Amino acid sequence: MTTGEVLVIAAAAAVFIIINIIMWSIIAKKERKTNGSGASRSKMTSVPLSEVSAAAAAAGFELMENTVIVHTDDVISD
Amino acid sequence: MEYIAACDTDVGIAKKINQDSVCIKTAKTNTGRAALILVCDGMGGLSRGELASAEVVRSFAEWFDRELPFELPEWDWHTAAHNVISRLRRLNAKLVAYGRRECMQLGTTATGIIAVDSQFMTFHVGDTRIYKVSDKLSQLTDDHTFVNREVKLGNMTPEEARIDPLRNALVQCIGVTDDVFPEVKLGDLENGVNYMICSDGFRHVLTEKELFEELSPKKLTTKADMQKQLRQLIDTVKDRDETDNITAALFRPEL
Repeated sequence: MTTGEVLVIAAAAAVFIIINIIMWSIIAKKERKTNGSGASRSKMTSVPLSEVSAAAAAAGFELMENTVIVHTDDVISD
Repeated sequence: MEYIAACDTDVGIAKKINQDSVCIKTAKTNTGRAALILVCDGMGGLSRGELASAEVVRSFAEWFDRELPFELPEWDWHTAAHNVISRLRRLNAKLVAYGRRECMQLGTTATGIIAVDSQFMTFHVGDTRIYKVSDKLSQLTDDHTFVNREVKLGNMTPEEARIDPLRNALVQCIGVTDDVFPEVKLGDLENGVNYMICSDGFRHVLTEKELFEELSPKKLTTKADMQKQLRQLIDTVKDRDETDNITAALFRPEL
């Protein structure tokens, strides 16, 4: 193997390594981005109902009289 | 505007379990008022009537607390009526399925008033009654009983119906047959009028004259008055040897 051939192989290997580094760094960046937006979606779904209801429910809804009389603790599950 | 409501219930002198359930809820918003008054009479001849009536009352009570606040901003009576009928049909299917699963029959009447601001809706299945007490006594519901149907068909006189052995037999209630056809009516609330919902145990031994006189809107204007009068009437009913459970609720809009 001549010196020229060795240099070509070394250059190809170097280019291959550089391309891999660039490719994996792009992939890693995309994954971080995906994970980041996933976390924000999770936050959105976990907003307590009370916070949502404050916007949607009738303003100032307040129970005045609240009497419920039943004569069993049993319930029929759905 | 103000809504005043009261209720009372009693096991009575003969039964071991009170199978009736009752609920009164009122709420205020920045723009008005809302109320739910509901009486359910668990079927005396059927096992676990108290469970059937409790299921219906709990379902409507939860609706009032959790769903009504979201429905009020865009409140529409026809949608509300549709939703009430759907809820009663779902409850009917639930009780029928439970009865089949557990090899038992359970059922209940369901009669109530939903009021929002100056309007109201009655919903009704069974023989629990709603009366309006103003300058006269008016019955707002139609009994879903065998004898009432026969009277309407001309096969029986009202006098015969009163003493017929099947006078308590229902042609529909929640939890017994596969389908149910709730009666729903819409109307305008009247100022200073008392609306009363009662189980048959409350009214069997009281005359219409007594109901009118004792529940008069001139006589009962406060919650304390209503509460006291309901207890007095329940005691009267027990003194007259009524054997059923006894339940009644009063509702008075001050517009």
